[in-house]
Amino acid sequence: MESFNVQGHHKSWFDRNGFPPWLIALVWVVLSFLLFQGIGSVVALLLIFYKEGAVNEQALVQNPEILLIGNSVGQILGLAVATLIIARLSALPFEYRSFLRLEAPKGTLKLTGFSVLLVIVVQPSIWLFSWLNQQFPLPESWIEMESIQLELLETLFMSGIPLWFMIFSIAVVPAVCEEIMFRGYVMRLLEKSSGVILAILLSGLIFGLFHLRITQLIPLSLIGMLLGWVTIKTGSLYPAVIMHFVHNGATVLAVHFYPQLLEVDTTDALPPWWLIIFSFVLTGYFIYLFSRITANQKESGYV
Amino acid sequence: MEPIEQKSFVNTAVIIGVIFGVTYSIVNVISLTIGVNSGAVGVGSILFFCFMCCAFAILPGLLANRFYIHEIKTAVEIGKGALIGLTAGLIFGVVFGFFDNVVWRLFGVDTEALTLEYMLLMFENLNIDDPNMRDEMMSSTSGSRTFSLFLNVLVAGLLNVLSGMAGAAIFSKPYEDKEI
Repeated sequence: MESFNVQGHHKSWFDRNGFPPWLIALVWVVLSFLLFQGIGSVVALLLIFYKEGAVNEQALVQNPEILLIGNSVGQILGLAVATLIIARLSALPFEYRSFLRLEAPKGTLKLTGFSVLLVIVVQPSIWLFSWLNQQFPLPESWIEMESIQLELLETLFMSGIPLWFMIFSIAVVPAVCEEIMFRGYVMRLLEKSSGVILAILLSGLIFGLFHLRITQLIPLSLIGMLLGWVTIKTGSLYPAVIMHFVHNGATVLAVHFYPQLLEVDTTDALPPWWLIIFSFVLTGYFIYLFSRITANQKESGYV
Repeated sequence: MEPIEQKSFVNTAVIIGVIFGVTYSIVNVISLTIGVNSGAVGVGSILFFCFMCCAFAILPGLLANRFYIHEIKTAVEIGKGALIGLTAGLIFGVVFGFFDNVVWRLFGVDTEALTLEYMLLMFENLNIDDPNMRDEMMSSTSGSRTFSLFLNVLVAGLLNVLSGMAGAAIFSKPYEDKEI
């Protein structure tokens, strides 16, 4: 069996065995989702059983912090660690870090600062898309599922869990684990199959679908695409991790200090128009600046 | 004439997927009807159902590879086997879903009602008296038809990626000196 590519380099295991990269990406999204949910559920149920001596609905409601622990362990093992392991089959050892973009080319720090500003100014626009998404009529069963998720979030925020723990579970863990998986691995595979633009669009859409929140599909997908675009432009995963952290962390802080935000009906509520226009203009300007700065930047390492 | 090495696997995968989708749908309805009419729904018949379901779910990928490799008389890589399996599995899932939701209804058979009746009999025969547990199990089997159809297709596709890889590895053995 041929194990060298045309340039005479060795090929990865997946390449040697003729796996189309898009197939690996799609299968891995589903498998890692199952791993994440499976590990998270088992850990949470075991901890609840250890603490309460039984597992029932009441025990689940009374222990939201354990549900968060389960969720975090599920993400760390099912999304991040499992992806880092499976990526070994997609890239050779010497190109592994650059394949996942786990490196910081010159200027990454400055670009990370820009990325943080970008994710802040884009928020009112995202709010608008969230509102638009909720105008679509949805089946009753999906709306019910959504309201259960919101109730669970409300319980989490109202249960007096320490702020540092909320930040860790809702901002740090997803920012690192989801970025390794989506922008690090899945987008790179899609890039190999379909080119950069389709990779950004598809990985963003998959990111939106992955959250199983159909009323937030459009804003989540757009955020995913923005994170993908930044990753491609900077050639590094780190700015996207920081952006994701800032996005989730800001939400946690906002709800922690202003719990009445949970009561806001986002189906009706829209930010003021001047803010939306301001957000669109600033976002456009930042994207333009970003493109100019990164125009001459060449990605090193993995080809 | 098309060179044999470049012959597409799509025809083989589609034919196998369609045959298995239709066959499984027929076997499924017959088994459910026999179970409901005879009332003999116990551990044995549930095990039979599980075995049948697993066998039908993984066979399309395995057999599509077998027929394709036999046809081209050349070994295929397991990555290509996975692709052949995925295609056969997706077609299997779609055809089964179409028969289950559309075709049987044309003949006056409501497969959803039949499945629920079968499950109720199973609860009775297994002496599951707890109404909460029963409701939970029933609700886990019902729900949005579109969503369950999507899940069926997805699961069938994924299982057949695995069986397709296995099929490529197994059936390529005699042709290992001639690989695409």
